[in-house]
Amino acid sequence: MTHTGLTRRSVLRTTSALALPVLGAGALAACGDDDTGASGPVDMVFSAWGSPEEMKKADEFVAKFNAANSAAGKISMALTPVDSYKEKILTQLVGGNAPDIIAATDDFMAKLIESNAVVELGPLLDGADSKTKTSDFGAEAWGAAKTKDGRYFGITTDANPSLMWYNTKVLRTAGVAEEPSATFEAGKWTRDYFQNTIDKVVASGVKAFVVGSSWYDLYPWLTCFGGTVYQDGTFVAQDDATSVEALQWLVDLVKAKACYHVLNVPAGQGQDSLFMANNLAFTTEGRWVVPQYSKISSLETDVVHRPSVDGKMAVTATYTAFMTINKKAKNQDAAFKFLTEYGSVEGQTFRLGDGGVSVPSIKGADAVVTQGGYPKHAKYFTDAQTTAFPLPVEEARVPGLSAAIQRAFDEMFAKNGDAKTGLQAIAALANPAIEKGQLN
Amino acid sequence: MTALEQRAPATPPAPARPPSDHDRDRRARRWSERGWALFFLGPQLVGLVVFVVGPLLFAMGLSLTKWDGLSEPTFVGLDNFARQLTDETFLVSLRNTLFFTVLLVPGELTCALLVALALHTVRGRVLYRLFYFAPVVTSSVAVSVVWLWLLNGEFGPINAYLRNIGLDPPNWLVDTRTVIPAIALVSIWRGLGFTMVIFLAGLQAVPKEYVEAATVDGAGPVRRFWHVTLPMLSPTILFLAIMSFIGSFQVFDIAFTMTRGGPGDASYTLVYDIYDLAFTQFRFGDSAAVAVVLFAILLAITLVQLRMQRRFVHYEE
Amino acid sequence: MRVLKHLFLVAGAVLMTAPFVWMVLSAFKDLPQVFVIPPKWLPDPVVWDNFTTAWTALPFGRAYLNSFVISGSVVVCTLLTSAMAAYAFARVRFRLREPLFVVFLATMMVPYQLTIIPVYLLMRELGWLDSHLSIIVPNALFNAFAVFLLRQFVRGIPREIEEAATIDGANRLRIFWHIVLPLLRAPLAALAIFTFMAQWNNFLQPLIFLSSQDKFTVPLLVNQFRGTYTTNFPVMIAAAAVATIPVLIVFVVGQRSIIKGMTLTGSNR
Repeated sequence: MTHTGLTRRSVLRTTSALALPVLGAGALAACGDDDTGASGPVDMVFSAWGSPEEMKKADEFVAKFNAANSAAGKISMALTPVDSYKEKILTQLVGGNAPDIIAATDDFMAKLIESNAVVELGPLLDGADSKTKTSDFGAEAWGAAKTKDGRYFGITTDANPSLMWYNTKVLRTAGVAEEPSATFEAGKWTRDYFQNTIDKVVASGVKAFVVGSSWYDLYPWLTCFGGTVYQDGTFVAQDDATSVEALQWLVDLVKAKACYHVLNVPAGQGQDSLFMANNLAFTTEGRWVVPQYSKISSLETDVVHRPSVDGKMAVTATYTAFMTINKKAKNQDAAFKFLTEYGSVEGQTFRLGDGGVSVPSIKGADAVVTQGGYPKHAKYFTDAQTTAFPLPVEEARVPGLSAAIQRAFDEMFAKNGDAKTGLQAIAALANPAIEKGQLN
Repeated sequence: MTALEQRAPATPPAPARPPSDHDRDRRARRWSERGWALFFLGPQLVGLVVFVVGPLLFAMGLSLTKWDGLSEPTFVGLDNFARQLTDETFLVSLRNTLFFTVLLVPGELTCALLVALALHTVRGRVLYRLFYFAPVVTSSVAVSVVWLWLLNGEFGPINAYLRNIGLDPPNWLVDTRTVIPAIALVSIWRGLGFTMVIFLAGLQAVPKEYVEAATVDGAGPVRRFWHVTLPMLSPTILFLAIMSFIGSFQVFDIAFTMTRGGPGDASYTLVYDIYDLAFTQFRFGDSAAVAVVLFAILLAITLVQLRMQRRFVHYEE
Repeated sequence: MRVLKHLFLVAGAVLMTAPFVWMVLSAFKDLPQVFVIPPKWLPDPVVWDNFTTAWTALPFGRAYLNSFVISGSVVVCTLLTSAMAAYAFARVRFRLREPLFVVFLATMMVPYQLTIIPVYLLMRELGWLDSHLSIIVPNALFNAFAVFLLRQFVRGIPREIEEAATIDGANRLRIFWHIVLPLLRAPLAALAIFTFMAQWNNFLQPLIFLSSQDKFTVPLLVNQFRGTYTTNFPVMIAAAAVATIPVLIVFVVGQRSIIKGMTLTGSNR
């Protein structure tokens, strides 16, 4: 092996030398290394994804924080829509020009830790100035922010567990008189009961729900019946009879035209629009649809957990947003102060209340989800969050694996394939990648 | 330096003068020609070197390293090339890209030429031109939403119509066999306006006398097209073929917004692979290696196209 | 025959314009209306709020100014620099002319994903990050498409005109400025329109290089409406529809010169 150590800076310098001869040294002289040891007030950047509408509350929070902490300097929020977020932040990181405080998705969080780009937060989180102790979060909430050896590099700022939304009008028309939430409360919300509901809905000429291919849409259908997807860092669903059976059930539902697969639904907001038009009995979504659904007065809807074997609450998946501090942050203490306030009970309560579209990740802020009274069983969101799993770290730690698995599930559904074979193919894709830490 | 200079193309014969003067004059002119070349090319040359060649060299250097963008790069020689050239995703991407190109380049040129021929002399062409140019100014969000609906297997009007006339249409964007043709269709639709406009310009330059002369000689419309119009259009066709070819090999946006490379890897293309390796998988070395390969393929084929120009393209000079 | 031709053209025109029409009409709908299945084309009721929502949510006034400044400067500079380069490639004899031209052509084949990171590093070294210079300068100083296109036209200009001027003692700069440039008016007009459109819609460079909202361009702001889980499509589409107006005006006004300017036969008349 001839692995010669090349420093990044030397690569950059060489290239600059190649690329800059014409412009002369004048411009070059202007740049220097980032200074990290600044004292006194410095302005810092917090970058996050989201639309301005979604981030309105976060923006207000930042303004409030700045007003209360003017001595330390100003935090400004840089917003990028989620689909171009990683491209932008990654380029900034590579260019040594990254924001001080970074919001990260699961796979990005894992990468930031691996490449040693972010601050280890464990001691700070359990320090005296912390409003986000490690014990304030459920064990599941850490996901990619916690390493295998138990060190913490980020916190989750909010979450979004996947629940079933049901269309009461569609169910009533199909002859399902009792609302699924009532059935659940009675302890009867089981697979058999659900199958019965599906049959009635389909008989009335409406489809039951939309089957997705992402981990967030699909894994909960395996776990709600007690299936296992990952075990000890390995993808095992193909050998788990419950998972195989559950997936085959979904494939058969799609084949029998009782459900749509997501690829067959027009894009944009496929399942939402079918649901709002009373063409679908259930959707599987998070809290983010509240602003949209609550505006339509003709839509009668509520949430329920997925069905389970014994009628108890099913384990579901949850989206998590992470927040972490760049090692090169201009003032790490001030950055941590911002982070801990942003993630604290007060911070989450402020950001997620009234018009919020997510669920708190920290214990003790639950009231914010139920205070608006929409949907009726909004408390299921916070209940579900206590046991919900984020993107499995095995998948998060291999950049691109999650997307590759999703495409493989798409292919399986597109071909009406056999669940066992499909899962075996995915295991053959995933397990070597997990071992190597990269795809193929 | 002087050796290079002596092989410079001969300047046109100068007016008769004493030989010694002539020599000095030639040398002076050659020098001044070089000065003028630098002067006129200067700004674009700076741009070329600083913003394209420099970064390209950097990227080529990157293709010899293992680099995740965040930690130190490691030199790995040709490992990335060795791995990528046998990588299944790369091979699938290459195959998909070739398939796409084979559909797109002739498809786009033929459609655009047909529309241009129809528009060339028709009444109301100003209005038509505007309509046919609409896709160029339609926001890509609207494009993808509308086309995803048009091509939808279940709800889409295209399949509703095909079922009506008794066919069993495929589920365009979901079926792994039809997803590339479907993307090619949308790409042709999107690029038609631009290509058509350039064809129209080319058609207007075909001298009317030629066409009239051919008519007098008894040539029908088909013969006139093959023997007069088409040869006169050949420089336009070459230009568009090269542009369309380069564009199709770099197909990305539509695959990215409409299918995300799926289902499976059925709409993975080379640039999608390059993007995915770098910005999803943090493998900048591998990504650069694929990009260098793509660059080499494009360069080779374009050189062949330019060479063919000498045989097929008719310059009226 | 003529009826057939019109039928063909009308059918094509409908297909070509449908998404544009859908875009404009959707700007007047609310969210539930946009995604009704099967789609309804006409908004009912007509919603005007999207435009005001979009306009007040983000600083669009500033963004339009930024976009005009960037696109305008790029157009002016590109026309000049690429006409100069095209003239050199077509008329000035120098060694390496053909290989250099091939290099120009070859650069069109470099996928941007390959160079975006090195260019970002370069911009950082130059201190141009978060400055409009990072977008204007690279585009103004380099446009291989324009050079390729204009070279074809310069080659079509009869040499006699220039030779006559040379005998009158004019140097190359005078010839370029007073003879060649005026003859290139038509292709330059076409190129101006294409360049303007390309810059107006330029998304990637501003996305990567700019970070303060007061420097953002129009496409960046339009894209800002994209949500994490769901997007408020009508507002986004209203913003996108308004953003196409300048491009549309430029095309309607300039389409005659495009047709005139894009004559590529290099003929000697």
